[in-house]
Amino acid sequence: MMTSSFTCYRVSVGVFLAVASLCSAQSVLSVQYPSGLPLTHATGPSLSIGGAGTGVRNDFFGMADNVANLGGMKRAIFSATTSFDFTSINEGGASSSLFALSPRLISFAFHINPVGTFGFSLDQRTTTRLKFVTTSVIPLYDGSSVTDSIGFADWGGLKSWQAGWGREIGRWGFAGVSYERMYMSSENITLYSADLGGGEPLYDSTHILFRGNAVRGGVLVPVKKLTLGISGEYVFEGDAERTTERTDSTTSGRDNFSISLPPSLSFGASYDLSPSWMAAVSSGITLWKNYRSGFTLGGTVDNALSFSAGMQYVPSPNLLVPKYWEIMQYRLGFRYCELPVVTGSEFAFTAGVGLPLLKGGGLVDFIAEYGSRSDSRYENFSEGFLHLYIGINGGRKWAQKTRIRY
Amino acid sequence: MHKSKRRCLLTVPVLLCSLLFCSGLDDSTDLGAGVIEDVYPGRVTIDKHIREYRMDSSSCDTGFSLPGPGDTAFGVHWANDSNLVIGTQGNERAAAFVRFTCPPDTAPTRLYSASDSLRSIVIRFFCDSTSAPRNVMVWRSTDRLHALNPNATDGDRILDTMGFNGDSVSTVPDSVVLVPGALADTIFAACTTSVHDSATLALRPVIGFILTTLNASDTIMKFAGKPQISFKFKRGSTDTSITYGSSFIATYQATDGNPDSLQRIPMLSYASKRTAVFRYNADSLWSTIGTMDNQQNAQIVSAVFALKGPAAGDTLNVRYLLDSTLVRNGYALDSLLAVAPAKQSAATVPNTSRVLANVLTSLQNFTRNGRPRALYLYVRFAEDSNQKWKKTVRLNVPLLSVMIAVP
Repeated sequence: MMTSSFTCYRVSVGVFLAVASLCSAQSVLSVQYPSGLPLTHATGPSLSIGGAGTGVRNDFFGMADNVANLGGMKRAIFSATTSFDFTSINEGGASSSLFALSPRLISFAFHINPVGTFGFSLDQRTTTRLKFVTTSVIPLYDGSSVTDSIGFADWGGLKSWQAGWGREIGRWGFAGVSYERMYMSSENITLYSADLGGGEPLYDSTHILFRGNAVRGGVLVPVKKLTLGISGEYVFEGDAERTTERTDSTTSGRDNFSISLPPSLSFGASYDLSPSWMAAVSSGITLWKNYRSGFTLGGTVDNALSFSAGMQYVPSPNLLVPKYWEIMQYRLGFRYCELPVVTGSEFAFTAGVGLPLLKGGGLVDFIAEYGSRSDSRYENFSEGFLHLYIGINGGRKWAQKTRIRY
Repeated sequence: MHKSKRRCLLTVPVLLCSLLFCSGLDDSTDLGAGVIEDVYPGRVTIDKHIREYRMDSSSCDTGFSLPGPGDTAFGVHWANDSNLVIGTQGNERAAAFVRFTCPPDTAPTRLYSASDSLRSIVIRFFCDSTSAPRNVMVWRSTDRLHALNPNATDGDRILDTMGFNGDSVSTVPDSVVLVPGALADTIFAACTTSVHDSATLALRPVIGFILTTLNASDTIMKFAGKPQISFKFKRGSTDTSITYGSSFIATYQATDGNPDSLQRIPMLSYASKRTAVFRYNADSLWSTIGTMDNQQNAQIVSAVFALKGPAAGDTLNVRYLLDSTLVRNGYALDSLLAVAPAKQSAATVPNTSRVLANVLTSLQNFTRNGRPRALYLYVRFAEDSNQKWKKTVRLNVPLLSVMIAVP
């Protein structure tokens, strides 16, 4: 009975995730940005305070916000985050509601005393997802008409894996560095068809694949109740390959070029107001003016600033026998960021709750983020979004014998 | 156990509700075209991609019909699975041609031996009950080209005159009976050495016959099903066997009376397979594509001729073909049209039935291969047992509507 129920449960979840993963179409504005729409790549606790984790030292913040956070970890940490993205595209009085499942991050960290802590993570850094279909009825001379349609699909994004190391630097802080391998792909297909055509639709497709290397570094400096953090990333120039394919195969081709993705820098701070309250802010910049590409990707870019702030409340973190709701973590956050073109921006409010598990050995986050992105060049166009994140975190000391499983 | 069951009972409805909720979401959007256009100019605006070109009557050099005098082998109808037609009606005249294999194709192996003696060979035809029975002349021929003009000097011999109305000289009213003699013996002798083998069907002896009335006053007459041949012979002292075999080929050929004058107008005729032909000057089409074709990517995505149906209330059921050459041989045109698209109009209201003849594939091929200056549109009635024998339609110049797209 238990087996069948558990199988039923797993099948249900599997079917839901499979169907959800088939859904696509997210952002029209993302086609403007060379590598797609920037995502807040962070673990659940950081996402729920608007991504203001650069200056926060907390095991479950992982190495996504600041690789120096590895230095403070004294145990093995696992984190994973996925997002269910609902987007409402609005233009004039019309709107389209779209959905996508978007895995964001998975990371591991292992503390090896006295060397430090090593981390490994897979991140979805940017994304492009768009499925645009428009039809037009063209009247023919004999009174009939032909319905022509154009389908435009653009998908891809930047993924990376990184391996990092961090440790405590004397008594004044923590530092960390990581090597990052980046993969950027872009699939762009346009289809034309006519209902009286009878033949295959015309298509024009472009596939771009970039592989590059990057390094990240960060520092965290605790000063009493205040923690300051700085994190930066530099991406080396890498090779890209572009393949085009068209209905008329004579115009298909392949060429190689190089891409330099922009470096970025962020500053952050957090302050423990009391054992129950913590506040954090961070600000950063992505230097898109340093971006170079041998082949035009997206539109004209400009440096993009970002700001985020949030706070956390735990009612009774130090009670010996608390009620469960008294150790739950309640968080609010806000973020604002410029998008890679100077006229585009995005803001969002976040609210989340962290559910401690296994006596502090685990944490499950449920986060809702609601916001909007727009571009001042398109006055009647905006994209509202609701992201529902699920974050799973676990921590354990290797040498500690325990019956706790997570 | 309870926990797991409770989790399942809770999860399944929640997820199903989620899926139902998600099913109400859109799969794609048609909003934000301006954003995409700014990044990919000309990508998602149909007007920028697709241009309509109309080839009107001014591009049609001439409209006529085939056959003209000297155009061969028109009006041949393959009738294996339908009716043979012979006779004369108005200016149209038809004769049928049938061929049999030997031995009959129901035999497992060789049927006859040298010791068998032939009693008779019977060739049997079946008159359609809806036809008015007439006397039918049966000629022996091995060449269907003789069908309309049996000629004794070419080896054609009249065998019988059958009367389906009972006044036949044959012993069986609807049959030709060949008693032992030169022809019957020749046929039987060939059959005694023939072995049934479907793989070598084409190499086996065949026997051909022409059916015609040769009488201008007769009306048309239909035969139902396939004619049959049977051998009646004696084996030993008493045994007599009869074996029937169906014809493996049956055609009839109809001609219309005045090809010289009819060829001047783009007319369709069912019986004679008169085919309307329109010759277009395609220079302006290729020129239009050329102006859109800076990157050699212009593609024709839709190409339709509009054929207007008859004035009287009727459907228009035709086959059509667009080619770059003029084909005057009826057999060659039959082969081309046999694999050409067929289209039937839906409306039967006078002057409104219309066929939209899709020529996309042909025009795409011509675009890639030479872009010929002259294009010929052939239109012919489709083979259809419901078509009326005397059915004719005169077509106006069909207008061509083409959609050209540039990715």
